[in-house]
Amino acid sequence: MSVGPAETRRWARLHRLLLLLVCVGIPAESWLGDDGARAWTMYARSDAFRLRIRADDGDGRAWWIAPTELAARASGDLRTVLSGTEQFQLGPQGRTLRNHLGALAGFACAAAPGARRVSLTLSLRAREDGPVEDVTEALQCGAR
Amino acid sequence: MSSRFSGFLAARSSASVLALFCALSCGGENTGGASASARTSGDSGSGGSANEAGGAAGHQTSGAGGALFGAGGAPSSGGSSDAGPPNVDAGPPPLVTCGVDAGADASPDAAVCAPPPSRCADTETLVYYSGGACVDGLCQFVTEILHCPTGCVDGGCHRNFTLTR
Repeated sequence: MSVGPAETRRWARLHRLLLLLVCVGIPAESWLGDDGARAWTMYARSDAFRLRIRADDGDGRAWWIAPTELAARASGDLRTVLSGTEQFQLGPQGRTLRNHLGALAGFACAAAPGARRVSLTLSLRAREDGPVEDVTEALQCGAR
Repeated sequence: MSSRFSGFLAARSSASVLALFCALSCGGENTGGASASARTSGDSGSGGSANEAGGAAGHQTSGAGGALFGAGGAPSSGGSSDAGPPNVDAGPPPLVTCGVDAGADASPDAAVCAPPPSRCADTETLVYYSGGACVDGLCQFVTEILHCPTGCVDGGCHRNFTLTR
């Protein structure tokens, strides 16, 4: 069965539309709307990142939670990403963590019985001698 | 051929990133991994003062998992144990001074003993420190062990450049 010129043009038009959608539309929407995860940013850059987690019980007692302690309670990628982030670790995952610090704070609350509040500080450093960018997220445990 | 490979890579990367998002927002189940802990303080090189100050308390084992992301759970040092004692020599935790004896050089965080950097005990074993407490001017930590199936590198479990489930 042969395909006529009109049919061929229709397919070509559809392919162009799909190309625009996948290569421009979806990345643009992701770039503007959220963290750019669908904008092919996964290979774009790696940062050194470090996580500090502090909990307090509301009565003046504060303590630190080792990020690897959270890693031990997680699985899959989250487990490997969090492990060892007491010190700076290099990888593209730091940016992803930054966009999900709130969820991570909830996880930290669950890992710290007795905590009334947790505060997470994610430090990102693009270069070894570069400035450190701190992003902090605090959460009242049980307030979610 | 190369375009097919690129497509495969792109699809795999997107799926992997989505998997991490899901882990962060939906919950990540601990699939286990042996862990163990022992509360110690100081450094063996300090001539034993660390133990005198805080004491190497009894060896305790931690739960091997079970807590869901965001679902609560007992602290790892207090969980039920179904993991045997650590099979590696975790060594003593770093010596960290704290409190009033820490002196003027101590960071403000030393008052509550920030966890020292984790380290690789062998190619698949990560040693980390939790439960910091300041006792007689020295930080006591619980030495814990995390198994890294992907390998232990630079004080953390090896991360794939692309994320996988």
